[in-house]
Amino acid sequence: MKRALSGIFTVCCLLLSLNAFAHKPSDSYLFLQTDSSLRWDLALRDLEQAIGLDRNQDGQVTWGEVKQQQAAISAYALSRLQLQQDGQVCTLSLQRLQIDEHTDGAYAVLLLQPRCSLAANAALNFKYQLLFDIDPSHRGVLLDQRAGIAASSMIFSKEQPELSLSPQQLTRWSTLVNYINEGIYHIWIGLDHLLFISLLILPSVLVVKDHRWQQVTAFRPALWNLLKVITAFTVAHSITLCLAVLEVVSLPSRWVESAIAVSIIVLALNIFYPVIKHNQGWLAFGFGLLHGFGFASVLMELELPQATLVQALLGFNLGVELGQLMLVLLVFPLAYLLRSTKFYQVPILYGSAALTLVLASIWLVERAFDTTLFA
Amino acid sequence: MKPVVYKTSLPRWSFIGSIFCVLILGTTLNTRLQAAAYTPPSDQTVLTVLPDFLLSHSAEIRSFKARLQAEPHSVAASTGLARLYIDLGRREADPRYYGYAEALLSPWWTASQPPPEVLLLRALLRQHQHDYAAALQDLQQLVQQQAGSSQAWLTLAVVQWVQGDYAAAKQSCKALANSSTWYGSVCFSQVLSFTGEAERAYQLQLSLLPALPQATPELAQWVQTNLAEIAWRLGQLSKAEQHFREALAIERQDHYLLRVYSDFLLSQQRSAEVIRLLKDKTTDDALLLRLALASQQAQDIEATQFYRQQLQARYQAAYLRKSKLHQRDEAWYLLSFEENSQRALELAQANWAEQKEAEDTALLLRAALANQDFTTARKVQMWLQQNQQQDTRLDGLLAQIPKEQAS
Repeated sequence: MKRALSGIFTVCCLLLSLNAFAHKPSDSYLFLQTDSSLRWDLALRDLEQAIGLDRNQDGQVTWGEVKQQQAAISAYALSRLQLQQDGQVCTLSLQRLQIDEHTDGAYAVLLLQPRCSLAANAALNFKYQLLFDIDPSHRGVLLDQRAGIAASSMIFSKEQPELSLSPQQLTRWSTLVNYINEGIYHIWIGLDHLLFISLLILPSVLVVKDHRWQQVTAFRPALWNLLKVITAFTVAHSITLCLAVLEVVSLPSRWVESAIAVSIIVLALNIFYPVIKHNQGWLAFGFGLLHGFGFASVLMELELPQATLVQALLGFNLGVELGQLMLVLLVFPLAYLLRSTKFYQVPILYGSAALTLVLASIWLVERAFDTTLFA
Repeated sequence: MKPVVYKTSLPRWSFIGSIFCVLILGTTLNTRLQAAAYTPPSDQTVLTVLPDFLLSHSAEIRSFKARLQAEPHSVAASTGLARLYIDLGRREADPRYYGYAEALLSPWWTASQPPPEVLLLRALLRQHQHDYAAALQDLQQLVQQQAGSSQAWLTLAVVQWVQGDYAAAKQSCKALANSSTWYGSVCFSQVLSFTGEAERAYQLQLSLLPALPQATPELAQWVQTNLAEIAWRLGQLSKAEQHFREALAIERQDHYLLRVYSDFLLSQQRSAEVIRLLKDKTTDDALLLRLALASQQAQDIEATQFYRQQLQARYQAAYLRKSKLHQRDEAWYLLSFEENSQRALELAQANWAEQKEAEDTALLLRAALANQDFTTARKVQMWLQQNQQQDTRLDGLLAQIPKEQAS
């Protein structure tokens, strides 16, 4: 999951993708991403004009036709982009070809692996020659996202095909903001963490009495209790996250991922057979220690900036906590509102617990035995 | 936790809180996830549909390309293919085809004495890029070389009246009449319609219709559109409606006609018709803007929001490439949807400095009044009076300008 996402998470809000094409001239987008990789988006209509994609001449460009031309696309594009780092030529190779939609239609997304580090403290020089020979109004938009989400942009044009990026100072503040965003993002795409939190939220509007779930009486104390549980979870995963990132403790990822699946199974079972009725805080704390190792493996793939490591760690933890709180504030009021209904107890509570149980069991088997059950 | 006592009251802030959170979440997810690259599910997934025109003209395009391969600087092949691309760019409202045409003309792009055919196409491209001064220069040079070229004179006249230079445009139309009486008359009456003789212009163009050959639907459509616009400016709405309908009945898609007719419908609160007309024409930013305005008029909050997001994304993309070609549309967008119209006024002013069609003038007047900038509004009023321009649509706006106090 994480590897697949590492290439795609750096996305600029300026390029909200919408399914239509517009009155817009030809542009390509070159993203310098936080994980020091390059992403290059080229319009399929431009590639059609430059190298020809519609092999069967039916007026439609399909994914199969794009894949067939992968080598030609890569050769064409890479021969028109030169990158130098501190005066040394840095070769680029195509790692993966994907598709994205921009405001004016489908683009080929070239995920490029540079042979050098594109870290923010390096001086970079780009020479861009794409399409100018067949469309002088073409522009290349370079979005430097290494310093944070708010990207700075520069333009390659026929008149100005070269751009230089001088070494930039990552400010503490921008690192913090950047990693808060990363934290929020990762809690929202991490299905296992989301499910875990949801299983903490759903029963929080109920209380076990006479071996049955019954509704709580007041809003505030229930929310307060839940926030304490969630914070215990955060404190715990912050501890292990820091320990893992600083390489004080290191656990095999297969073991950690399997244990995370077990933690979800335990929570789901606890809904059917409430054993741990009070002090869910301690339960959350214990499992939080586990989830922290899970977050750490994500964070370590981001190549943390050593100079601003403290800000990065703090930001990421804050982001995760914020993401969790958003989920709480989103689900809890609804859950509270619905708690007295039959609908809440049976389909919602038991239903989601059952679904989660199945899902987490599949993960457990997959992770523990390193197989794929459902391709 | 306390034992169960049923209690229904839910603090109001939790509602507000949850709505707020949905909003925050919505924006966070939007900005991060939407532009995520993906792998299409199947090899058969269609990613892009190419314009029909490319397919139907593929043999022609191939033969031009083959000729250029053999003889890279062939004027006939370069201009032949460039013409095709300009036509395609117009039909599809896709500027990249104008770019292809420009590349074909690159051997002569900065030449001072290019061949006449190159000169004409270069002027068309420069006009499209809003480089009016250079376009005018090319056209002046061309008509000196080829005094009998109808196309050169007509293009020159159009650039001149778009810029508000009606005296020069009249001269060009007269010269055009020497080679073609019909074109010369349409041209002349167009200028008349902006200079105090709109009724006469209307009658003149009406009389030109029967003289049209059957095989030229695009000319009939052009004249019908002109008639509709003149009638609308004169406040004769039922006549305007009738001409718009006749223009639309001609089987040929014209984005300019769709745009003006949509504005006509919007001015009469006929948003449902606009939505029906433009639903599947969102490729063109100008038409998308009309669709957003129609949805707003129809009080369809969801659709309005959707189209607005698309428009904003497109303006942003234009800013990223530092393009100014959309300033008219964006000014109108800001004026219609945003509270702060200072920026709308700036854009409308920059646009009016370049082009002065009725739409540009109305836009500047609206923006000036919205900002209570009566100096600018009076400047527009003066200009309208100087040219005796008749436009009943502006009457309400002009009435909002306070009388200047004698000092």
